[in-house]
Amino acid sequence: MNGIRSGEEKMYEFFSHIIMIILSLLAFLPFWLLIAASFTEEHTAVREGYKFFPSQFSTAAYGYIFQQWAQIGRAYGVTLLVTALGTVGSVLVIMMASYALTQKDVPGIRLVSFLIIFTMLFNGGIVPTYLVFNNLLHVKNTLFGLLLPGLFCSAFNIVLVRSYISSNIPSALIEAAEIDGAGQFRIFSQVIMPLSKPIIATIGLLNGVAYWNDWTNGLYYINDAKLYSIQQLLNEINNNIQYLSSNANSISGIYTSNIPSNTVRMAIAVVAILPILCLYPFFQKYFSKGITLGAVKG
Amino acid sequence: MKKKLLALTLAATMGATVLVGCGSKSDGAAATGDGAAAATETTAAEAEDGEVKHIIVTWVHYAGVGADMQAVTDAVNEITVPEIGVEVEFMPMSINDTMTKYSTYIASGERMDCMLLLFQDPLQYYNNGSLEPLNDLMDQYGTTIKGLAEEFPITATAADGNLYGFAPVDQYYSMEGCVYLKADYVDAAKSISDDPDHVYTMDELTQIFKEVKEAYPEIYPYNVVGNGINSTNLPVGFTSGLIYDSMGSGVHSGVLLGEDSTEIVNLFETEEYYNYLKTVKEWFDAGYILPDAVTTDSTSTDLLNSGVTATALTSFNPIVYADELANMGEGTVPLKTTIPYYQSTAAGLVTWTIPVTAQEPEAAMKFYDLVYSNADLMNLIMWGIEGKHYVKTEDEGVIAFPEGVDASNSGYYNTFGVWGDRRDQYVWNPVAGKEPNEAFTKAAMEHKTKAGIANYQFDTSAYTGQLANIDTVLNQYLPALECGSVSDLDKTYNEFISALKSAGIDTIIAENQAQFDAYLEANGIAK
Amino acid sequence: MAKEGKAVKPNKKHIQWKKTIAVYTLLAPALIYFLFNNYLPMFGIVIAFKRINYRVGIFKSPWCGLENFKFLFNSGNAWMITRNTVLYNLLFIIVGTLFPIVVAIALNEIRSKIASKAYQTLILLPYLMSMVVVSYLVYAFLGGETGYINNSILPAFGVEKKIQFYQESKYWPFILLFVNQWKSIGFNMILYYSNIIGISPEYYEAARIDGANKWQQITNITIPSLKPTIITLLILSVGRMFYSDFGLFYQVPKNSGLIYNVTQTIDTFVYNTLMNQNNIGMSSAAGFYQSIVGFVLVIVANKVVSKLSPEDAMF
Repeated sequence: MNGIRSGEEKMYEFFSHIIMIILSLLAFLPFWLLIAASFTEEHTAVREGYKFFPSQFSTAAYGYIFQQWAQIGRAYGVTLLVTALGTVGSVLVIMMASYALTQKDVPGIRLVSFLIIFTMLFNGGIVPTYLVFNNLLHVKNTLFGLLLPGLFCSAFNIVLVRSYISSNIPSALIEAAEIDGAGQFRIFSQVIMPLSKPIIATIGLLNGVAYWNDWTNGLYYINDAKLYSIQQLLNEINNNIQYLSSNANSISGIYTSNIPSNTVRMAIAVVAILPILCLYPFFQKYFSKGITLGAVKG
Repeated sequence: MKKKLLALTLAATMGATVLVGCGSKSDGAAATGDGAAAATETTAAEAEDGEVKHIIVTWVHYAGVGADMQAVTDAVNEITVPEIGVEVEFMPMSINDTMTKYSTYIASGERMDCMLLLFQDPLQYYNNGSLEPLNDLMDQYGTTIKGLAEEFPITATAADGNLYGFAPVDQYYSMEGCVYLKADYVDAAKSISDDPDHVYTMDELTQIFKEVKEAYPEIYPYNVVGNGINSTNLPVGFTSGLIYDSMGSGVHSGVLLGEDSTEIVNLFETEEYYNYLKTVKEWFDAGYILPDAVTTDSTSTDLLNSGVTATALTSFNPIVYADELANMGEGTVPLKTTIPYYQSTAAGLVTWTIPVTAQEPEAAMKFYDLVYSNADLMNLIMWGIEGKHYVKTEDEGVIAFPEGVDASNSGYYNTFGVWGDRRDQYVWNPVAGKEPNEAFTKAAMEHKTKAGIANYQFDTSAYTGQLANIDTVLNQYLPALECGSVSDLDKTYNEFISALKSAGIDTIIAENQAQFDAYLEANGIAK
Repeated sequence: MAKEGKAVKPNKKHIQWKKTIAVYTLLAPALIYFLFNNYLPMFGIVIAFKRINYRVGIFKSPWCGLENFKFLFNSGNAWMITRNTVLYNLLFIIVGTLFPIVVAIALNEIRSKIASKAYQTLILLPYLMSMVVVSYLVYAFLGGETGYINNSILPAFGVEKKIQFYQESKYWPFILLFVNQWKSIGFNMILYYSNIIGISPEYYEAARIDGANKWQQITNITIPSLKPTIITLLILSVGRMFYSDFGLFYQVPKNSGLIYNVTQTIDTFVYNTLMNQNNIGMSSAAGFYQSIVGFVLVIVANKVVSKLSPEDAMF
């Protein structure tokens, strides 16, 4: 902004700060509670509930989880790899498809649009999807089993990106390039991609988090412990604890050991989120201001 | 234009159907039809060759697979290969996975030769065609099991006469309700009887809770929580003193109340159950129950270990008694609420089956039979390798951990006792040994319910929808009711009963009664 | 200056093959993926109409008409669960459109880059958590005995009596709305924000020179630029009208039976009913029911939009 800012603008900014501060607090406080809870001594937590400042500090929950630190380390690796590959791959595929759909003069494009959107409306269900990926494509116990089912390309993303391209990248630009003799691939890589940084970051984040938090693909397609993702591993620990508590009376011979179950769940959640938190700042820059459409002129 | 698009889409979908139809159908067929055929052929051939058959056996766990799994598998094969020519491969699955994955595996033809159904109703699996009928296989290769089945109710048979699964032989056969009071609070409870077999009424329990609460005001004596309650796991059986038999098909299809009854009733509509709820609510109001009981995330064990509650609700028998002594401390007193009695165990919560995706059903059956007849094999699979995972003590049949090993770091620790003839299973505490179990079973056999005598199975295949609806109602109301955590008991209770009725419980019970009466008559059992 | 010459106009008779092939090549990976991931499994829809018997396989299993659908409508719950699902969705759509836009505009007004980044990171935190963890945290606040509100906040106002949140229906529409927005604001805001920051500052300059005040700038420049995104998201939400966020409605209320009348949706009802049943016919029927309704709604919504604002119609 040039020149002296008016009182009105200052007031808007002031209220915006207020709104954002309140929201940030609301977002952050529960997170702090989560961390505090994970460092609380188990019996104290059961007796008194979770507090922002633990009345009795303990790292037992983390100790329990990291007994299997080798497996956890490998699970982190698997998840990182899958997230990285999946995000990059899916963003590329989605960007290509979305740009293609904006070219309304190509025959059949409207039908293709409909077919893609239709996939958001009807779902065959878990079992048929499993049959296709397992029996037809044999992705079981491979990285593809974690990368492909359900997550790799979603019609929702395509619709979003197509909408973004239509409204933010003027067709005049594309037409100019076509007239200059550029082929579609060149237009895609040299016009569309550079100008789409915000939306690329957006769906990158959406897909990245989806990959990171996913555990259902692992549940169905992965039996080999070497390929467990971190969420799958942590979910196992959690669910098994649950099952035992509701069925311990039904069968003798169950020897329950002293698992610090409540605080372990909190520690599990922290362990699952931390890496994303560390990586998010790198995405940040794509959302900041200053990305202009300077190329639009002319 | 729209119509054209829709038509195209439909055509595409149908075309796709054909494509995958070919693919998955042949896979499925390979596992079922062709698989069975191939197996019979090759068995005939290989019985002559003496070639070793390979089978896949599910190994259910809850705490993970120890490092020595392979070593134990090898030791198992050292027994099975020479004896029956079968090589075993274990397929570890967590208990949670078995709930969700079995259907998918079966639907996609995933191979399993021996499948354990734990905490699940096996009848559903049978009804949707997932299980092989075992009658012929049992006659040919399962002679040990067959023999045991004449003595113990371990086989599960469907209404059409097909045998579809069998359970391990338990160390004891009986049920006895019990409330265990933790050792720390026993001194405060003056009303505890000197007679260890005294059967406590709910009023006597109230007195004991009162005494504990007076001595320890911050404690909640009665340890019931909502998150453990569902239609198969109800506190009423442990606390109320009611003897009821759900006839192997669950409370949602009605129960027999009392030893001699042949009239199937809706447990929840009976006066006895209502009175039980009233007393539990009084306990809640008096502060004997955790106010957050319905919604807390903590398990009842957590609460007990954290010093919030004082009791554990479970059945009494020598095995569980030993467990509770270990978990709650020596000096823990079992407050029994019923006499030992024997009830129907028709469709058990532990069922070994051979699914339709098995490729070597004969070998599977041979393996099963060997587990029942060979106690060493059974103990090997249960506890691991002697010297490494356990050592024998001077007491016969009692084992302990070796130096430096315990439950958390042992390389092999099997938590589910589901294998073979468990009367010969090694135990960790002499209290749980063979003798006390036999005595206990004997006492229970003197009090058999009518369903226990009959070994009857209700055919539920036509009622899955209604049963599902009834279960929903149960799971909606029972946690709050059984925890006493309702502001207006009568209002909620009446809502509960009418919800059950609109879900169709009376029809189901009538149907159950009709089948039961017919069965009793056909088998010459007096009413 | 652009050359005069071959204008790129849609010409029905003269299809540009080179462009067509290139465009379809760009589409190819996505289309192949959808074929395998979505279209081939659609054969599974037939499962809703069959009584599945694995011995003969899915394809040979007998047909059973609409029998698998009965459990949805039999128990007298059908009205309640449908009403809950639809009403919550409408509520979430309205609030979930206004609120993120307000926040996105607010964030846009922040000049300090450091503050802006900090706010963005913080409000995204809830999005990264799984709903299971959120349910534990909600319990930490709302728990009857040990909850923060009952133990610390109410006493600070001099209120001694504890509120049993998990047994009183009246609080839950607000609680669920709050949790839903709290968790998704970080991400939803980004969808709008990335559009806002793409608006050329020249527009604002021109407006300011013309004497427009801040409010006029927002309503005449910022919000109209969001129109395509808003409409797209609206149509998609309409298609999901019979679906709900399972984690939100099942985990957060801790599946407490006493408040079912305001927390039970179609998805949680199906889950609760079929949890012990392992009946893929019935669960497939429930999914089909939701899909069919959503499909019809999307077609209708799209038709409405294509009459009012043709360039924003989805197809």
